[in-house]
Amino acid sequence: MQASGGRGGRLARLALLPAAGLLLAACGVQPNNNPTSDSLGPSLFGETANGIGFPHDVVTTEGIASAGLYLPIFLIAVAIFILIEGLLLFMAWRFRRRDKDTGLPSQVHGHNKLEIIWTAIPALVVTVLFIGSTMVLIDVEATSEDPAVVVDVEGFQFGWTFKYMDPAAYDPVTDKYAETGIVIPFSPALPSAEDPAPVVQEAILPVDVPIRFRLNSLDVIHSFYVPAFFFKRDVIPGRTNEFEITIEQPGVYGGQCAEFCGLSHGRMFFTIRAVEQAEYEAWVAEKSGAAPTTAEAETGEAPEGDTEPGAEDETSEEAA
Amino acid sequence: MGTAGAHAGTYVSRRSTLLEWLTTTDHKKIGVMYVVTAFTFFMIGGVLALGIRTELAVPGLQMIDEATYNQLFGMHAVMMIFLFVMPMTTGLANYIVPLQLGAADMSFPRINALSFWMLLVGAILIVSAFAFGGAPTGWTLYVPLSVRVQATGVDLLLLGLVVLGFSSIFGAINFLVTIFKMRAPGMGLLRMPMFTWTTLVTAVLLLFSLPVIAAGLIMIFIDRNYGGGFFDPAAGGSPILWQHIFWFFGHPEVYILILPAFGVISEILPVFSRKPLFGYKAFVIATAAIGALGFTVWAHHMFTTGAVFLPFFSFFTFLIAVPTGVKFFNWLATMWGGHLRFDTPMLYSVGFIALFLIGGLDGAFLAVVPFDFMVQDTYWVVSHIHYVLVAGAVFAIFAALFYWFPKMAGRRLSERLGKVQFWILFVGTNLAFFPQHMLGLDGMIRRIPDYSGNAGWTELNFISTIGAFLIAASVLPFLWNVFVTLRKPMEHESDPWDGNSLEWATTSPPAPWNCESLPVIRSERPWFDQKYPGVGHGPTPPTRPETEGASS
Repeated sequence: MQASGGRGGRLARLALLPAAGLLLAACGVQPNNNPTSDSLGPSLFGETANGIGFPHDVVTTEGIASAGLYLPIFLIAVAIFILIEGLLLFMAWRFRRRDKDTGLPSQVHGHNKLEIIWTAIPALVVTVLFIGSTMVLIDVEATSEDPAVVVDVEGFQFGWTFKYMDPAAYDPVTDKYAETGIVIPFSPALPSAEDPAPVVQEAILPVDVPIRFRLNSLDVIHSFYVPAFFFKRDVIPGRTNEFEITIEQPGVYGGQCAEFCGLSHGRMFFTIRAVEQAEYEAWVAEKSGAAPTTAEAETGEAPEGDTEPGAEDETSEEAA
Repeated sequence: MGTAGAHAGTYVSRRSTLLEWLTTTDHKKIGVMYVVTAFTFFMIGGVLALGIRTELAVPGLQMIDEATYNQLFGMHAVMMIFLFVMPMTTGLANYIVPLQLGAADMSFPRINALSFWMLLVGAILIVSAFAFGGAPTGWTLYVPLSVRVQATGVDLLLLGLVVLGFSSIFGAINFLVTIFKMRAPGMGLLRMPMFTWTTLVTAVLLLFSLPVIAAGLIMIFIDRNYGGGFFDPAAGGSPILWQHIFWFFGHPEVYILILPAFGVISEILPVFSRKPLFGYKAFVIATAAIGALGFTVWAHHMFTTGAVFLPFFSFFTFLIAVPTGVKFFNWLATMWGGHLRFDTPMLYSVGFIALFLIGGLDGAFLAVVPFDFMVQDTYWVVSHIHYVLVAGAVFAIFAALFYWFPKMAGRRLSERLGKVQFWILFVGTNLAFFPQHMLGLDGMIRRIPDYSGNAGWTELNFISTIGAFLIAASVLPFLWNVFVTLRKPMEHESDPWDGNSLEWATTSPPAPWNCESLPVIRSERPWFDQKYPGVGHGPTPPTRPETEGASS
């Protein structure tokens, strides 16, 4: 029920904005290396003003299921809102004190049957909501036996590193996957004196396959948040947080740290570029061929580092 | 016993000297000092909020840099929660609860004074943090960030909060003993006014939750200054542990802030509807239930950590909506069929119901874990907390100030100015906080000083900033109102609103010993029963002594 509601809503919005959809698709095949006009990182959703007040542009299977919960709860909330505000307005008018109201109104102290009803009905409603949302939660939290892609995400003050791991080489003793050598290192998204046109850090991922993210922090707590995935998960030192998603649509999706982590918390941007599988495989093959340079970039990377010398090369290579 | 308690004008109050204020143990004077201190910090915290909103009005960093911004939102929260709402409700309870109980003072008047002066010491420590690098940690003080930040300001904040914690613990014990031991003859627990009931439940919450957070704050202090490893994963500690400690306090804290507000509304609605509170016992049970459930939901602030058992906390978070719903329905039923008079206290109370509802509904969304994954740490949550604490606590505080001001000062505040203030605040609150729902749903996270002009958030942020300035503007008519009213001579009206509970049975302002005599207490509305014999319901109808001319 929930999932279909979400899809229906999405379809309606897609119908509203075919032009924006085309633009998005165009962006999907273009390298996202143009700095935004106004000095800040990527827009999280593009310039779509549609869907204000509703979830919109959600692109993962899990996110669509989660966003589908919004509408039924919204409708219940609206019903309660109208009921109570309506009663307040009605009473403010109907029972306002008039000149003739000199005596006391009827002194009603309570009504047991009524009180039981208005305790039981909300209890029933929240139980149903709990069951519905927990069923979706179980799906969202589910992980597959063999994810197609495993990405280790390291958060640090104030940036991210994406390391592509080998899904076939899991070591249960260390709880780690073997590294493939493909790394998307930190690159600053803000223009500076040295780098007036910086490249937004961009991780490439395939659509339609389960992708496992494994989150670690090198210092304080961060949170990995991509609004288009309708999901965030905290990035906690001393702990590996895992989740799996399947992206359904190619496109470029902005993300940002969502847990306050210090001075430049507001600038911890990254983007995810979802591409068709063939394109992804070609990209992996190319990166694997260029493994020595990536390894170099990786070793040269300082977690607290400000600007990555290798970063520009790295991404401009991608862009080519 | 038996004679009417109203002796308007029999006690002529005189201006107290400064020394009398500084050395007082009178619960009423201490209450007034709490209220004045709290209101001062309301304005300081409000200025910080204006700083935040001005910076966010349009994209770009125009006014302040990141480092300054990062201090503003944390200090705004600390001041509004610990130095405004808590001292304000404590001050109101200090003044009103002994009067409602028919007691001469609190059980421990000197500890009461100590609580107030400790509040001031804690406040000075917290404010002085600004001079020592500030505390760019947010009010949540999440580790390892709060351990790593190199600023003495964080230590001062920690110490200040610990001092405030002990102040509140002493206060909570004082209220508990007062409520259990100082009730007038005839006032059983189920005949206490609702404001006293909510103060009782609040005191229990304080007593259970504050020692936990005080210990946690000291643990951070040790981690910061002496290399303790409580929260350091490299030393076998856990950053998640702090979040459990913090929210085990932090969620009950929300009810510590809002339960007294529920109490205020439950006092005012019956008086201005001229009906008893509908379902008094259900209301008491709902209050206790909210207090108890408040301790079962703390980890709903931690859904995205991946380190908590989600269904448990989701279920109890949903469940807490049930007793809250009972309160709403009981308030509405109290108004139903009444003779509603919309003086300023009533206006604020109805405004509270109308807007706190939104804070309840958008909070229910957050219990839906998959939805919370999206909006946690976004402006949806900012909107939720402000609908609860501004539309909730602040509205109730203004309702209370307008309602009890005549008791404290012997004259009423201007109704005209009060209504002007209400409508500015009402419009401002909605402009400031409603658009934040959309921003959250759009993925705008909190605690960022800036956002992209491409994100489509500019208009909503601008509206929100206008709302914030309206909220600030609404304080001006109030200050003017208080100033003008206090320059008028006292009217000494003992019972200006035709009240129900015992504070209206004594003079305005009350004598230092509170009252000469008390009405017979046979229900939760003893003063009403005395004025309108045979109308209300006391369990024992019979030999009520005749009163002369008390009924109006």
